[in-house]
Amino acid sequence: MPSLYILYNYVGCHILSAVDLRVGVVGFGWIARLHAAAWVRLGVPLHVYAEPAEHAAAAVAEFGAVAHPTLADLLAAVDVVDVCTPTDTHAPVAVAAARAGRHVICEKPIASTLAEAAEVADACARAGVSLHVGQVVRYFPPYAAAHRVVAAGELGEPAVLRFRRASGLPARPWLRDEVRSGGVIADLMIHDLDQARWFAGEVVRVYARAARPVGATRTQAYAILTHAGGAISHVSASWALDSGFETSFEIAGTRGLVDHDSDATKPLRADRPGLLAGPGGLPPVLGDDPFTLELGEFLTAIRGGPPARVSAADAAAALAITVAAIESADTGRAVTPSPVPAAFHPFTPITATATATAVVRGSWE
Amino acid sequence: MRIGIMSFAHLHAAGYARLLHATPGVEVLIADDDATRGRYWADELGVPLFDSYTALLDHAPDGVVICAENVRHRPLTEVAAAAGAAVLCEKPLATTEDDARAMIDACAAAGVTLMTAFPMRFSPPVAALAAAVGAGQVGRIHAMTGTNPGRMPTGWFTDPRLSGGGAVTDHTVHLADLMCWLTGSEPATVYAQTNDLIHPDAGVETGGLIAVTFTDGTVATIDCSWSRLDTYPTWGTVTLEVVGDGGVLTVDAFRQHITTYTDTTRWRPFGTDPDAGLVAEFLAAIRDRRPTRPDGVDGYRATAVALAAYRSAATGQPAAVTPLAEPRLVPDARTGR
Repeated sequence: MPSLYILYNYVGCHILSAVDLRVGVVGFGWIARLHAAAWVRLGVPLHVYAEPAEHAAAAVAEFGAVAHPTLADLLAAVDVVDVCTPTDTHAPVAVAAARAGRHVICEKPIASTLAEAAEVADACARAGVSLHVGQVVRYFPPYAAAHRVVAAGELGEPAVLRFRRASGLPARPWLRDEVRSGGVIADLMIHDLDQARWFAGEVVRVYARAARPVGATRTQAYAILTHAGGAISHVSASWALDSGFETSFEIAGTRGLVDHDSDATKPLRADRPGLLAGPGGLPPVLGDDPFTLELGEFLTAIRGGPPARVSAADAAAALAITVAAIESADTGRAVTPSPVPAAFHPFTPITATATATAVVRGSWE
Repeated sequence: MRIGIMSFAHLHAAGYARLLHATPGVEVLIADDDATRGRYWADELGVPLFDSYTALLDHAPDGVVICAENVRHRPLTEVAAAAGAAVLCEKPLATTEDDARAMIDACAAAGVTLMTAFPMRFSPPVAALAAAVGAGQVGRIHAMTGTNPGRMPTGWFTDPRLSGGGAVTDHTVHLADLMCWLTGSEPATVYAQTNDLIHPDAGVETGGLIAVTFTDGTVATIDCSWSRLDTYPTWGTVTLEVVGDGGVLTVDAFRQHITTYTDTTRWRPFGTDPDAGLVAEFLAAIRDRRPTRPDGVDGYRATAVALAAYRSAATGQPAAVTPLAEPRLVPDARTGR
């Protein structure tokens, strides 16, 4: 409900900010800054534990966070832990948080392998704490809007789907290291692998190819997915752009089609580079911030409200497709994704993905 | 907080009513001189319907949203202000300079907030443009190109006895307001040409091209035409190009959309609902008992541009904009102007 969210911002901050929960962010790199800005918007008291010390200092200086010298100190001070560390450290941090009895929010991918992911789910289930994973694209307005159209049956049954996501090569060394990050498939393509499953259902077969147009690591990847209901999806992920960040999708159904292209629907244009650059070189946020929507929904669920639109089990399914895509890219064979580990069964929402909201309705349409 | 909706004649009322109804702590009351229409919306939202505007005002609403036909804005604003209710009035504020001035005076005398419904100021892309302009990123503004083309509305919109006029009345004011807001300057003269070629049976002008010269020398144009047919993929657009000595910025306020292709092709917007910010600011102004922008003076100024456009179209020469006598007292918090 983006309109409602804006209303909260203007007149009812007290509604969302009557917050009893303290959040601790672990790690303070690029994604953590986006999370921290969202936590501040949500009125949540922010704590941080990060290495190196300059990262933690930035969290204190820019977002008013309380810094803690060790992970144990942070865990003692908060109710919810938001894991924003490099991918290969997600699982140990999340498990430590769960064992300390803290609710866990983990940036995607939840872990590098399904076995590690299952350890996180198992630790959370044993501790009786909630587990959420940041598959944030479900909160990006164009995707949420299209999902609403598809879920309403306007296009009939999805049949052929295409998703594209492209950016420049990440500057951070751990992201370029496929052992640590999983590379362009695990870090970038996983978003659209989750989208394909969200729109067209379970995936039964994955074939993937990857190339190295830029540098030594794989920076361009394609996947073709076969869904249980017969739909097929094309997914493209690239770190080969010279600059910028582009996304597009097209969902062709039995009765109609929906598409979107971030580059073709930019509401602001400038005649010289940099004129519109916001803080950190990011474009200004025009409308609802997906991270605020996502973390706000997670917080509501943690407080006992309705489940978030994406469950940890959904994130595990996305990881299963991701792992299958990497295996296919490595072997050249089509791969059937592994089933979601049983440890995730407690984290399936009671109602299916029913809370997608974002089409702006009313007098302007 | 209790907010009354006075008439659903203007289709924007539906959006405001839904937003208000969805806001925690806001109680929505409805009155409509069209009883069938009022009953429909009362049932749709599950809120009380009163059989007269007086009966609604007897329930002491903190504020009212007036979405009556344009010529009825003044009498409804006057009774609402007299009842102590803050007023959010649909645009255009009025159909004559005298009516607009009387509305400002009535609300000032009653000590209530008068806000003109210019939601485009709250459109996230427009707000981003305004922030860039405010930060000096385009330097000094020298020229602006604005368009607000749309489909022709039906019903009273094409009855000048109720609407005051056609496309010029309906679609000039959003951009006129944005231009005044961004420059902080006053419109001085207006030139306009109009026609009715696209909908010759409408009975009012359906096409209009307007040039505005501001007191600071800025030149600007506005396309207010009802030039979008049903085959166009959306109701219309709001675009504004700002040409400064430091750069050129262009906003296309409803550009953020997905496209659906079924029996028809449709652009469906996301992330850019301007009404939400407008309604929220109205509620905040009531809660904090403070004036707000866009206010009645902003409404007057934009209306005066449209009215000058009619005078120009009638003579074929530029027409002077009738200025408001009183100076502005309330600076805009967002631009400082």
